[in-house]
Amino acid sequence: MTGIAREAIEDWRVLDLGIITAGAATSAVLADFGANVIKIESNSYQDPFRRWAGKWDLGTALSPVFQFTNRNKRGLELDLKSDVGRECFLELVAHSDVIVENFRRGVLDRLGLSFEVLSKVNPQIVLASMSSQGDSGPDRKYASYGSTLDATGGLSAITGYPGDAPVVSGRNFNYTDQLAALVATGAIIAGVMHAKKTGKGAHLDIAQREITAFAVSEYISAGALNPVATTTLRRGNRDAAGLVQACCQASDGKWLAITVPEESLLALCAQIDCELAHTRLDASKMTLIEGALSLYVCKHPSEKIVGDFANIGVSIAPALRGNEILPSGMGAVDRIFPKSSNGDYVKGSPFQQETAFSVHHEAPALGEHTEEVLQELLGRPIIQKNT
Amino acid sequence: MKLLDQFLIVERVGAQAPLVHRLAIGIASRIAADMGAKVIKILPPGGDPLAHTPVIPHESPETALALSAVIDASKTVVTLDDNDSHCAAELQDLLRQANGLITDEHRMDTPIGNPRVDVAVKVLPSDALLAKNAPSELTVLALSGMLDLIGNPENSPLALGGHQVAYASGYTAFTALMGGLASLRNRQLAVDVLDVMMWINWKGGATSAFRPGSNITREGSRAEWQVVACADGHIALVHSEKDWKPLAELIGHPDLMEPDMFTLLGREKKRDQYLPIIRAWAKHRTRDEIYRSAQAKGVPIGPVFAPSELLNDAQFKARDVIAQFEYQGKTINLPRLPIRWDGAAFNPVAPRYVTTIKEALL
Repeated sequence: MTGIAREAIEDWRVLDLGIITAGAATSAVLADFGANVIKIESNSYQDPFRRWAGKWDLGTALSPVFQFTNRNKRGLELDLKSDVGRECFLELVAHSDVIVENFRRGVLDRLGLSFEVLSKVNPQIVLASMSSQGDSGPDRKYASYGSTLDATGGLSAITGYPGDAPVVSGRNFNYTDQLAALVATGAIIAGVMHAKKTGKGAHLDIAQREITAFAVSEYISAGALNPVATTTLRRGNRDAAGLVQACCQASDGKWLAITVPEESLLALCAQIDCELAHTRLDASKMTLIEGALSLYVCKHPSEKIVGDFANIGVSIAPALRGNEILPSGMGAVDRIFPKSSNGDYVKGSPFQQETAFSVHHEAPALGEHTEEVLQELLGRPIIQKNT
Repeated sequence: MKLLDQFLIVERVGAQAPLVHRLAIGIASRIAADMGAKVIKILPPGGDPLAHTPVIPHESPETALALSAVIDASKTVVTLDDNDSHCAAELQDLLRQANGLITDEHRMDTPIGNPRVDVAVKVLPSDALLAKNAPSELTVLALSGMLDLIGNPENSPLALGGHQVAYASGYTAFTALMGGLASLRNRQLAVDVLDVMMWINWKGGATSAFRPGSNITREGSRAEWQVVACADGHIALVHSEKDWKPLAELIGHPDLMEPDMFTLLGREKKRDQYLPIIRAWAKHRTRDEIYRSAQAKGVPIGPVFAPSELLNDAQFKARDVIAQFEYQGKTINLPRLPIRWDGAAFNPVAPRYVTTIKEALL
């Protein structure tokens, strides 16, 4: 292993053209490993997350969603549409390891910044292009948000109440947009390691719709083995592996997620007074037990149910609402919602390293570090033609 | 493409590991294996529980092959009883050669095998209520706040379909492994499945952090984005502020062009009036008609595809997304990794089963 990477990831430079979630969050995870991430925007092309409508529009200079996704980056203002901006960008590419972008397909080419152009400037550069459908195919220019990908990637079809319509994760959540950064970051790191080993960079074409489809791989495989299976795809909260499982409302109104391991089933049935025939647990028996479970839970307060069921080996947890997460006291809250030095919450790291995650840069104002970055990389503090 | 062919990765999951950890670890090393790493999966005696885990329980037992084929693709699998001193010594020797280990051993400060192992990624049990009993994907979704976000307020909270906790955690463990391998020192990294799902649902916590008293929860028919029935299935009605004008023009109903329809708040107040207009318009059109006409105007509407429909999807065919291999007498179709490397796809192959580590290393 030693000697494979010319430099440790802490020495890598990342030019972050990513916006909103998928691209910007990928660069943020690279920063979690210590990479030096420079977020590049211009006055005419800003990350829309800087001002985001809806519940997160607080009228502040930076919206909370921008602060969450862009901590530990520095900000550089550069207009890639201008000749001087484009030339300066190419100079920065020569001193960098990675470019992350999630423009609509074709935009980078129109800016005169195709991979061919970039790799001439730096043969080891890794260009990570994150897009809805990938860089090829008839639908390559199609637009999407996370919930579009829920639908087109096969996830919505297996999400929903039994017998009811498919469901998308929705505007407040956009599940598949969040998912993309978690795998794209690893692919980028693999790409840079390979570039440093071989001296040859690469263009990584990362399709978010395919990330979604990969996350339902076994359903695609099963559908090919037995197409009939697709008629019963939406199973509500039933366990994908066949255990008794339900989400039930307790007498105090709280919803409880309950999964019953096989070895706890007899004890549970005794607790809820449901006769368990000693036969194979088929679908009708499952329905019977889950019905009895719902009836039992609705007659008792959630605290009692959680205590009693946990004691007989049942996996049980309250379905927390958003405003119950931070006060819950769970260790995960401290890791995922740490505070920056100014006291604001930011997004932590999805994995734990030897030293705890910390915020060394707040999310940058537009162009906040322009002079500093240019001086550091190009030896001059201003954007100008390199004469 | 053999990007990672210089790396030897060991996957080792305890016999009592909960399914979510077993899957997450398997997914992380599957991705590394497809990218060319030599991945050796160590199974304890008694076989792999995944081999008996159907995709759709009670409904389609013939699909039971799918999960183990998908998780074990591109790996070498060896069964080893490390209570046997000879096997334990073989395992230690393997770990001495390995660059990375992905495991469910819990204690971060107890490296398995030899300290020369460069990277150990450990998928951890979650804290709080999940610590007492093995976590399930449903209970992890519940504590992360994600369960409450999906479905109708008149009905129970609703889980995302399939094994999303396992896939998201597996993606994260793969990234943790790569980050570790890219360091110039030995690393110990950990992935907690609850951390991952809370990270994904960061908006849930962020909303109450920045607007005390505010909340986001499942909205059902009140949501801005809806699933709408059409002539041959469903479409996801997804749009941003800038998309409303072209969407309204596409549907061509004057009520959609009213000034208050151009803001989030305005639409929220008129949901009951305008959604029936869109539903009536969609009812007589196919998914493809709606998809193509909306996308032609840049509106990010998408058709709801069943996973099996993706096998014949034109975009997927053009990008050769679906790979095939023979496995236990059946043809397995499965998605390739969602990444193209200078235009080239990664190619999963059938798992290889061997009986000794010596064979595994060949």
